[in-house]
Amino acid sequence: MAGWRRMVLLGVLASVGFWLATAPADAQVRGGTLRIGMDADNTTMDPHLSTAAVDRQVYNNVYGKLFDIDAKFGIVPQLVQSWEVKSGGLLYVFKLRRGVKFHDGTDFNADIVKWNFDRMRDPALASPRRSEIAPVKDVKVVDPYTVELALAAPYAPLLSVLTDRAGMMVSKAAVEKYKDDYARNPVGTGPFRFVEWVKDDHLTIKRFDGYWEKGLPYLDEVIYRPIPDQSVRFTAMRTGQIDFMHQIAPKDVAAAKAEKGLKVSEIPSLWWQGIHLNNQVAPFTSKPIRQAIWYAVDRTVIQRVAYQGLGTPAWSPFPSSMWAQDTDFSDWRRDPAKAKAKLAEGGMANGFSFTVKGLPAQVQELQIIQAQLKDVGMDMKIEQLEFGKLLADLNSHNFVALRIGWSGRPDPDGNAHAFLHSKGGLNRVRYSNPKMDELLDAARSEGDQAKRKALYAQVTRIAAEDAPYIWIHHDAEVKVWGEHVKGFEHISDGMIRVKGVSLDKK
Amino acid sequence: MLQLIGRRLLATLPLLLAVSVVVFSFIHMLPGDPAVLFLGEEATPDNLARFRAKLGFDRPLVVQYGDWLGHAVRGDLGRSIRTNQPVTQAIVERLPVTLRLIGMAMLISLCIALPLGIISAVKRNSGVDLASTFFALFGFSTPNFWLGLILIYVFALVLRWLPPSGFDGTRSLILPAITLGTALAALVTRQLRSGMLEVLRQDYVRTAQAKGLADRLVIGKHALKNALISVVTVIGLQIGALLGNTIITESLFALPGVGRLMIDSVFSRDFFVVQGVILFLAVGYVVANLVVDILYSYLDPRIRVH
Repeated sequence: MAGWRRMVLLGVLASVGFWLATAPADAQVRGGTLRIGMDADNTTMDPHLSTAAVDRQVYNNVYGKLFDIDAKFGIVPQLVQSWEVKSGGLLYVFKLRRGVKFHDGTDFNADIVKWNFDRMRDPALASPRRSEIAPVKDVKVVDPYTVELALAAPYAPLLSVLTDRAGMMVSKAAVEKYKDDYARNPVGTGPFRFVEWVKDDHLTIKRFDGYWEKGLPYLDEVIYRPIPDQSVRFTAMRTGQIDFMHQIAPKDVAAAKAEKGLKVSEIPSLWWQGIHLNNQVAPFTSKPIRQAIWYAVDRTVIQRVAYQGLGTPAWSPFPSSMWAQDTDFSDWRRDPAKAKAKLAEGGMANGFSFTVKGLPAQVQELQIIQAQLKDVGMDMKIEQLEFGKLLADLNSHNFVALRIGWSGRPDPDGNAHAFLHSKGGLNRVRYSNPKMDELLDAARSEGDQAKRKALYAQVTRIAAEDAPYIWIHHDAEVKVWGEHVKGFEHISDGMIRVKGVSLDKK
Repeated sequence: MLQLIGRRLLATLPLLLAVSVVVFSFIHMLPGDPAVLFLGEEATPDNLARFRAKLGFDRPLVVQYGDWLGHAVRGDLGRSIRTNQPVTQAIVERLPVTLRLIGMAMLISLCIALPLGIISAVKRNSGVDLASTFFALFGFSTPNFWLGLILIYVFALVLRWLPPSGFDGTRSLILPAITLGTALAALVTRQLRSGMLEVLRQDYVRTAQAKGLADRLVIGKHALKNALISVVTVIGLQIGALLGNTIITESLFALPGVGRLMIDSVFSRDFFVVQGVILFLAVGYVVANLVVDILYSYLDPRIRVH
């Protein structure tokens, strides 16, 4: 009897389980408005003129891009349907997707692609994209849906660059119509069209009915709200003022996880945080002195305390989200004895004193480093600066040591070349090592990923040996959203692609 | 009266000119290059140079100033470096939020300060007086951002009565207005208390009381009106502080007001916006003080004669 009853119960449970498995739990509902809380407002809606990381959030939903990246960092075609690399990486042939329309009704085709490249390359526009696509020598229209990009030298990161702002296609008709006001009147081919932007209040985009991917997007509307204060933004999330939150303070992550109705997703980001040591200014002209700092810093403690256990310690410009990270390398742990030996080797056994410049938001981290350096006899003073001034000092090499981060790029080249190559555009520490230049150039022109990985392992080791930068930390990429938000795919680049997102409640 | 207003307005012209010179030179002295902030860290030197030339930053400062002033007097404050939006349009868009915020802050602070100030003067050294002293001390020494965070925690997160951020009508301005107005309420309470105490000692008050006039009339008509002169002075002077504090309050509560416009453009070195907003605020301050002067002559007929 008891056995029979159990059988029935099991049967009922099994059928409930079956029903749960087949029920349209994941079926996504159409319609609704998603409200996203941002850390800052957009600066411009023109991707060819944008320099702020935050701008890309809206762009990814308004603009179609030639390529995109997937969760595994693979390059996937978007406005390009298929592509071929010829002549040993010197020629790229893009077959474009047909039937794609801009929000203003104009057609997307090869002429438009060429015009976009010409626009980015036009010196008069002074576009920040110009240096990103510098390897592209010529763009040729082969037929209405085929373009050819001729390169001056093989450049492996090209497609990766075209997954970001350089690959975003703007409407020629709209640029010609609005001219300088295009910055407030964007027209792309993305799943959402721009509606209005009331600066510092909200930016609204609505579903584009002519979007080429049938059935997408699900949402009717997305509203971006800039809420600069982290605590207030988190409160807005907890009280249901927003459905989705970008950028949460590490101290709030535990509370977010404990809060009912909220989902927290935490993955490795593309960021690196570190200290720039000016290689042309004493005492950091001396390699052993730079190495002394390398060994004096305890990155694990910083990760635990300043970042509340989020993210990972950094020993190179490559975070764990990248295939280029060399996980076999271990010579980055704190070693006070070695640090002292290096100080002696550099002729400063009694220590020395220097000033590091940084943002007020990084003071806690810098104070931890300060204490760690003090242990081995180095006296680090902290000078807090506002971001604009910090950037100005960085660019004019006006620092001995300077604490700043890099938001990262999907291709490892974008995290390393500009900083470590003697001719790199972001090499403000004026570091120069011919061997390093050679490795970085080789990794840039090599098409095979396994070979590139080996090259970047060497880059990691030489960079650790020379210690022009003291890499400290790779941030975690954390997003918080309400349980009623479905279908968000979290990728390390941190972009909120809302095309596949839907809402439970209407 | 019209003559007074005309004379005062004329007198403000040199003042505004001086403000414009100071603002212009200060922002150009600021470290941090708008070209670098706009074009990004990777900007090449020739891109930077082209950008500066496009905005006219390669010309001598005096020429730049003259050019800007020439347009400003015709009501053209230039355009944002970033969004190309006309600066006047940006200010006009945000003005309603800031004006409502300041208006509500003043209203709230007067609603608190008037009764509290009067009662604590009339019932000197009573429990109410002590409480008001404590309130004044607390209100005046509490930093704006901290008070705002506490209010958000209590009223938005715990009680869920009011929204924590954004501009969505009067309700959304209650917490920011309390944040902004508390210090003013504290100051006015103290000012009114001492003003009342002084007036209550005057002969004419004693006369009025001796006549057998009701307390309500003695305090409300004879004493208060005279004590208010100093209160109006304080409010006039504090308008500048209120305008300044909107920067913090608007940023904290994510309100799209003039204060936030200013601080954001300072951080991004959007020179034309900063210059425009500060000039505009200077005009606003001058006008507010003019209103205060007119109020004086209403409260104190002796001023009208001069």
